[in-house]
Formats: sequence, C-alpha cells, structure tokens
Amino acid sequence: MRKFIFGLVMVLIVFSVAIFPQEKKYYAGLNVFALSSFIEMDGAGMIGSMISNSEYGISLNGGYLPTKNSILEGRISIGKPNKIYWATQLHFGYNFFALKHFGISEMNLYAGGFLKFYDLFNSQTSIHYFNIIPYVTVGYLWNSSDFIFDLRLNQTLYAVTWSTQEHTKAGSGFFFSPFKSWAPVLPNLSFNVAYRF
Amino acid sequence: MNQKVMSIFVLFLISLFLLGCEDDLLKPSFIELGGAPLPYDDSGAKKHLNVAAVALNCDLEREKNVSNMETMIKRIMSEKPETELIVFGETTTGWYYNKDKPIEYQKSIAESIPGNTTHRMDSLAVKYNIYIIFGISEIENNTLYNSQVAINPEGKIIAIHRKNRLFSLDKESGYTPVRNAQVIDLKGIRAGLMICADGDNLWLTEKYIEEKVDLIIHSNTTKDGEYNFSVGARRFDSWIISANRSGKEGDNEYRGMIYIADPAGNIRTGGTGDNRYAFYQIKVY
Repeated sequence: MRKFIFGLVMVLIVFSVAIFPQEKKYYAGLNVFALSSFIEMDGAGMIGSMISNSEYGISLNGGYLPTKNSILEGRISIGKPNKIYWATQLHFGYNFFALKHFGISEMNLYAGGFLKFYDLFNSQTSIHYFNIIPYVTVGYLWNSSDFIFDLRLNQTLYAVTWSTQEHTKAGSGFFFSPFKSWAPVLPNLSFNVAYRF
Repeated sequence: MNQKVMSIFVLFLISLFLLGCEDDLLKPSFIELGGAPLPYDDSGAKKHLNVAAVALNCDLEREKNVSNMETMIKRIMSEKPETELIVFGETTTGWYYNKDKPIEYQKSIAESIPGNTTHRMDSLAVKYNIYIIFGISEIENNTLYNSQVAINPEGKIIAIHRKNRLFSLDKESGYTPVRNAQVIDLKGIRAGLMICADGDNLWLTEKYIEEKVDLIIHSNTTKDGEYNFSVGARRFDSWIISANRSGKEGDNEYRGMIYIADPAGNIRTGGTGDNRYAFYQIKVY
C-alpha cells in the first residue's frame, strides 16, 4: 500500500512539474483547517472535519493552471482524526471557472470534480479501512499578489470501501451524508491558502 | 501584505497547538462515519447470544422506574423467551438530569450496590435464567457514581462499572468519575461494560481493545435519532449493544434510539421509539 501511495504522489509531482513548466502557473498550499485535528477538545473532531473536508493534520495541495479558467489539483494529507486512527489521503481533480470562461462574470467562482483515495488505519486493532470516493466541488478563489485563498464546498457522491477486518467483504454505494436522518446531503467545507509560483 | 498574511497564519498555527487538550478524549470524527457499509459475514461464528437492548421511559420516582424495568423484562421474556441478556440504558432508575436540583435529586434516587433495585433484578435474573445489565445512580460513602451493574442468571452481581468520562451534566449532577474497566464473560463471549461518554474515553477504549472483547455493552443516554452506522463497533472490532432512555425529562427529550451493531459497524437492528426493545442473536467467532 505504501508503494502505491508513493507511486501516486510521484506521478502527481511529475505530471505537474514536467509537463507544464510555465511561469506562475503552479501553486502549492495548505488546507488550513485540517490542522484543527491537533485540537483535543469535545466537538473539535466533528466541527474540524466539517470545515476541513475530512482532511487531517498536514494537508498539502499543489496545482497547475493549464488555462486561465481551469485548475488541475492534487492533494495529500496525513494526520490523526483522533487518537486511535491515522488517515492518509490522496485526491486528484479538476476545477473549472465556467462563469469567467463563458464571459458571464469576472467572479472567480468554480466547480469541479475530484477522486480521493484514503486509508483509515485503526492503530489499536491494526485494521485498515480503504476508500475510493468521487466528490464534486464548488468554490470561490481570491488572489492577493502571489497568494491564493480558496473557500470550497465538497460533496461526496459515492464510496467504494474495503478493509483488512476479518469476515468483511468490500462494499459500495451512494454516499451523500454521514448523518442521513439529520441531513440527507451534507457537504464539507475547506479553506486553502496557497502560494503561486 | 504577504508578510502580514504570513504572520497571521503563523499566529493561527501557534494558537492551534496551544489550545486546550483533554488527554483521555477520543473525539468522534466524520471520517469514521465515511465510506460504504462493509458486509460482515458471521455465518461461521460458533458462539451465539440472544440479546435485547431497551429504551425505557424514565420517571422522576425511582420506585416507578424499577417497576417499569420489571414490567419490561417480563414483556421481553414473554415475547422473546429465548432472550439471554437484557440491557438497559444509563441511570435507568431515575431522570438522567434534573435541572432544578441536580445533586439533591441524584442523591435522592441513588442506592448502594447491592440494594433494593439489584435485589429485585437478581430475582428476575434467576426466574428467567438471564443476564441483566442496567445503569443506576449509585451512592457509596456519600459519593455519587454513575454506575452500570451486571447480574448473572444465578442472581449474582458479576460487575459494577463506574463511569470513567463524565459529560457536563454528570458533573452538574455531582457524580465522581472512576478509572475502571469491567470485562465479563457471557456464555464464552467476552464483554466490556461502558456508560455513555465512556465511548469517547481513550483509556477505556484501549483497555477493551487490548482485552480483545467480543462485545461492548453500552448503557447510553442520547437524544440522537437513528444511526446509519456504529463508529464504536469499528473502533473496538466488536459487536455493540446500545441501550437508551426515551420520553421527556424536563427540557430534555429522548427519542429512544437503540441499536445492536456487528464489528464492521452495520446496525443489525435498532430504531427509535418509546418504551421499546430491540432483539437480536449476535454471533461471535
């Protein structure tokens, strides 16, 4: 599994650095609220997850702008959602500034689609829970000189899950909210700060 | 501008690390609830136990509650005579929280163990040849404990678990936390006892995982509606029986959410409602 993750990261780096070597078309940043997983307070786990797109600890993102109105982005995060789990995640996706592209508005509003893979590891039972999840995004991006501030809503659509837990089989299905009875559809927020180079 | 932004950001990072820390907290997280259900195959399991989780309406008066517990046990045994274990929620002998006089009230309903309530449960355990586990407000040497008692089919108290991690309303009610873990044997199935917020206690979680329990018996108080999934079952890699309370207690209204979940977190049976129970045969490898 580590080899697979390492391989994917390498592919992302090579893809963004070697294929598009143009000036100021790249960015590297941080999902700021993923750092909230370091806060050990009641409620911090749930609120932190909601505002960090369920990314925990160190959550880095890097992107490339192939055209003026589109972004290719990769995300990697490693952290502890709580004291027994480790979550390692890789995301890859594309955001498109449709309003700007079609000349409707100059607002930096975008929408896109991502695919994420994550391994949720229970360090006490040594059980891995692997997931592949497609999700859609809607967001707004602010530029301040070379800094990018990006507020995004992320909505999970589907999940494929498998595990090393004994007596389990892989499962899959539509997934819009972890609390169906309370909110049938529940997007997560994320706030990224990035530097353009 | 860039320098200013960076300084604010660095300050934010530092403040995050300096913010409060609760050493024994095992906070719930969205990612534990994520993903698709994992089908769990228990067809080859050799050990079986027929269990019932109860959501009981609780009165202010202890006597009325003990009588309701007796009625519920009789009802379960008449409808599901194969039942081997009945689990009640947290502090079933009274309201969970009385806003007007929290400490005085809990002291007024608290009992020593053994006491009148355990004696009455003992006799039903013997009569029906079942295990009974229930939450009770316990008093010993003028100290209040939020406790859970396990009685075996011989009518003996086999464990008293005292709540480790107190919720804010427990503190207001004058309870004292106790660091303890109780593992009992139920017909060859190893079960760990747990009361409500104990589920977010790191020490107890690690202890039960280390003890390789097959089953967590969770006497709960929660207003939550139906769950899709049990986070606890995956944390422990064990079955979970969660019993609760139902009805209105002052400003608090409980929906009576109960469930029995397999080790992969799938809710096998459960739901919400007043004065009801959920029955299931759990199968353990």
